[in-house]
Amino acid sequence: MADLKDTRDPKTIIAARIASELKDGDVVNLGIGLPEQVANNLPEGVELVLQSENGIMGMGPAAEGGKENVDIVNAGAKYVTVNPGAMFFDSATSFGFIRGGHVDATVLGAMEVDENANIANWIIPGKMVPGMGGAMDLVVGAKKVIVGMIHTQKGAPKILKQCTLPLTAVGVVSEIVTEMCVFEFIDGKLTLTELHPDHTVEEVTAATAAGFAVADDLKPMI
Amino acid sequence: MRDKILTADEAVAKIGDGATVMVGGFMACGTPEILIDALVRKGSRNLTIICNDAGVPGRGVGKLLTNGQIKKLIASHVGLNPEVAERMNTDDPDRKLQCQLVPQGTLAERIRCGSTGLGGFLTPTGVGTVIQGGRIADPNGGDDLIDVEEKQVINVDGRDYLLEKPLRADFALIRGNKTDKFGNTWYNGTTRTFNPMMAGAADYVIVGTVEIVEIGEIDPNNVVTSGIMVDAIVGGEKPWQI
Repeated sequence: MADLKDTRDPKTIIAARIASELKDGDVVNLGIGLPEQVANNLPEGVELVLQSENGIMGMGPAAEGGKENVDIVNAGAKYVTVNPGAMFFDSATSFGFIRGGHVDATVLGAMEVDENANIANWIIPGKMVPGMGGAMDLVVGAKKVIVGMIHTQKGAPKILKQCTLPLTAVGVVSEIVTEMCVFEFIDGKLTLTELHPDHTVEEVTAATAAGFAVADDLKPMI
Repeated sequence: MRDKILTADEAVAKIGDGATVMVGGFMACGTPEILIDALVRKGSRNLTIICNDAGVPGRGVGKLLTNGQIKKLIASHVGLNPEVAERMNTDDPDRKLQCQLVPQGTLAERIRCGSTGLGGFLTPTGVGTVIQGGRIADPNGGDDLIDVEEKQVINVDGRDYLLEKPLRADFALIRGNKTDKFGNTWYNGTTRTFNPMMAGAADYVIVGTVEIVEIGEIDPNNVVTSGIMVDAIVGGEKPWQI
């Protein structure tokens, strides 16, 4: 079966899976890093309205060299373009969009997620204090909170019974997408809904410290 | 009408030791570098800086940090300037930085409240986290990493919110792309950031702007910050570049 293995980079597997569930016209905020790759993996015919919390609704792709507009960057301070129909705004307006429920989905990484849908992704005491930036607002305000992350931290589970790091928010995660599987919170219960064909439920269980249910209609993750 | 146009050094002359200063921008995009440079030359110390982030070394408020002028930084994100962590952890009192982290939307709205006469606002952001109140100790034995005074939790129609209070400052350094001689200011692209809120939330507001134009040259439809907020105008700001 070795020749059937998914040869894609794990982060691409995650980004492509998240991209596959976004709908044409969705207003989406993509975090820095892996979540940014979601924009490069959208199915044919799906156009998102991307929000960049520093002040853009309708962000386009990265600006090509030589065509940068000096005053237009994304939240990672990289030159970007804007699509026809875009809007610029200040930070209070930006987070009004976010808290007000006008963002359909936020995709972001996490250091830990737990079986009560809690998320921790802004500080590791003793190691790093990057700060929460806009993450605390995004996860309470967006209609859907999709965590995209590598399943473990070098083998150590990141999906836990209870987060050990300081929380970003309580009970807000909608879905977790890793290179192994997809978990959704169904009626508040962490549920395995999709399994990557290269992995088994036993492997997921071994890599996951949280308790979870397995959906009756467990689907292959593509 | 009073002439508000000053040199950068004249404009920052009143910013003395211990002042609280708001600085616009997001990762230094939208930060008035000419005003920062003037404040570095002036050398005021023990400043409390309110800014979205710590810029990067050599950019934005990063310059004030490197020059040892900041005692306390109120920001939402400091991870892209490694000097922040180094100064938070140092035992050298001359280099020591106190850092207070605030969620970005909460920071923006607290400043907006400070600019608009509101006594605060209710936000679901931070409920159930240390931002509601509490401390995060440093496992390496240093000062607490996070120390937040307990906030009021107010339940409205079944949902919990934190009461967040307004923020004001002695000075605000904001950046415009076009400013008329009254102070009416227009911002280009993603430079707007915290600038419009900060322009109303400080006692003395200085705009560093790319282009100074005559009164009437900016279409009133495009004025974002009214000149009534602006105390001093400094020209010569460069278009922003990475």
